[in-house]
Amino acid sequence: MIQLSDIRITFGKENNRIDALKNVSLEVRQGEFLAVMGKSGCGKSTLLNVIGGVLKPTKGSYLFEGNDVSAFSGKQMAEFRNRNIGFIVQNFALVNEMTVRENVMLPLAYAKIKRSEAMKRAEEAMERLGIIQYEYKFPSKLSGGERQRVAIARSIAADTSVILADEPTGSLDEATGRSVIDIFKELNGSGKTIIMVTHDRELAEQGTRMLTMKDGEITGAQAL
Amino acid sequence: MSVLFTNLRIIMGKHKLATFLLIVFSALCLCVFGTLSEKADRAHASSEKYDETYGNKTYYRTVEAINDNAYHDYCTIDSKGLYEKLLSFEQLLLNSEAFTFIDISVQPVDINMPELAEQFFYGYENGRPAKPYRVDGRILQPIKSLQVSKSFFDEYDISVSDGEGFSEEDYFHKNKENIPVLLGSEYKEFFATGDKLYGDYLSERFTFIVKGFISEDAFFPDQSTMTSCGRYIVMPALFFETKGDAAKYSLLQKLCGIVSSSMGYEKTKELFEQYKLEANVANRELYISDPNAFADLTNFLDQYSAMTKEVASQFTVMVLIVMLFGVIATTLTLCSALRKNRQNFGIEMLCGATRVDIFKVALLFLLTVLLTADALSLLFAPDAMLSIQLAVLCMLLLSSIITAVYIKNMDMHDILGGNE
Repeated sequence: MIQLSDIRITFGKENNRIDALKNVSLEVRQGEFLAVMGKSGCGKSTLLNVIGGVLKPTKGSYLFEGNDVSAFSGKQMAEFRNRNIGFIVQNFALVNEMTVRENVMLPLAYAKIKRSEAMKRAEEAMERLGIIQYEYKFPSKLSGGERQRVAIARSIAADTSVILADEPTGSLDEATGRSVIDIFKELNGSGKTIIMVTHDRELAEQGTRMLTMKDGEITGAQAL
Repeated sequence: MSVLFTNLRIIMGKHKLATFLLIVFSALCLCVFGTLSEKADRAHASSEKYDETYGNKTYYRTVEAINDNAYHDYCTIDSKGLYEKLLSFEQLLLNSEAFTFIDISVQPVDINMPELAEQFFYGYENGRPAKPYRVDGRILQPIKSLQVSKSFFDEYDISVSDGEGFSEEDYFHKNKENIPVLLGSEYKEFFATGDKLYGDYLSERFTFIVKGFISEDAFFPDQSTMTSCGRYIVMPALFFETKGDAAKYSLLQKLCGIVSSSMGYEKTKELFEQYKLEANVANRELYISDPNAFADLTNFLDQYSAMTKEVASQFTVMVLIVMLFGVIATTLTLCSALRKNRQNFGIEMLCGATRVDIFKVALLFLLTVLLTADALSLLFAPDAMLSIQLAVLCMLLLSSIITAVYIKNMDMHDILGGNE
């Protein structure tokens, strides 16, 4: 499904050049729950940025279901993110000035799905995650766990095949974090591919495969 | 579409005061721009009118200084037939194809209306307004008046604002008691077209019939300056059918006119002398003045020209500065709002938005601000509608370009990544 070959990401110019990723090659199959571990600054988030179509690799190729994502234009990249990738991040990535309902419907609006259809899908996703009662509230009025559910509901409503989670439990207490992981497992069970970046080994062990990274390189892979 | 308006609501909601101030500032800029550009247009028009009217021409005064004996003979029996010779000379001047001769005399007319406002009195501008006098039981007041030929209107680009100008017939006086006149614009509040004034001109009684009014922007050269026609009664420089006193006096006056020529002084003088020879008045004291004698007026015209052009260019510079201020203020405020909203835009890009979608939000914000400012400015400067619309378009275009470049270079890739 996802095939990265010799991906290199370089930031800066001339003498201040930093390689965030060094010739990373990775293959992710559909339905996998991949956990990526490593210390701060090892390149985990950069890897997610590449997979999510936010960063274009400086070198190397990225194939998603056979399509060369590294050759996409800005507009194609936006469409790619909209149709295929759901993002769950530590700070929730919700628009605070929009209600829960508007946040969940955001990718559907950019996908130009009819409003009635979009509302139906958003309501189903919110009901599935138990946040329908908050639909007209603003994210700032919700707890951390509830906000993360809103972010997950957004990717469920968009029906993306891949969910990229970057430290998804980083701002949550242990119990809430566990419940979020349970949701991921459930989603993974229903066929979604999940790639989660974490520095928590216990969380990483919830996946089906674990990668470790160091200094922009994948240093280990382990099936769980 | 709904996301677009939601984003507009968010940006404006987050920056209420800045948006309000930006609208007020833009409206102010547009008002100033509109007013200044109107003035700049007028200054440019004046400058162009000056070039068209006075451009490459030089003015030479013609002078009559006939000696006392000849003058006495001319005014009485005219034993030498000087009247006919001078008439022929005047015709040669008026019909010359090499230069333009303008009859322009400032002989006052005496109007039987002493209650007329003092600004119209002869000598008012010199601080010595003429006093009314009594004759044949009538009280006559000397009033400023111009006697002009048809070429006067063409040469100084003078038009009639109300009523109608002089016809060919009006220049011929066939023993009629009526003389058609055009009044300066300041007479408008006292008289109307068709009104009659009674009085004396060159010691003969006439009825002056108002044919119309001279436009406000009418000036004629008088001594060393350009004088407004506003306070003058303008009469045709008459051709009298019969050789009476009025005809004789009038003819001498008419010969003291202005030659407008682009040939240079020597050639103009040469032609003037040739006309004198043809009219058999070569030995008479009729002169065309050296341009130095007219230097004051020439300098004044040059100064006026330079001043008008300078004013026009200063207005243009001011207009551009105001426009630039408007664009800078709008762009800075918008880019600041976009920067503060960067996190939200990043999130929306994760959800499938493109930079074009973000630019659409910025454009909608710009349109809202500028169109509101546009409507406000039109309330205060309705006369400058076209200039203001042009300014709005320019501001929109420039601000959009700068904003588009800003959005293109906005860094969004750091939205992912937590505080590990």
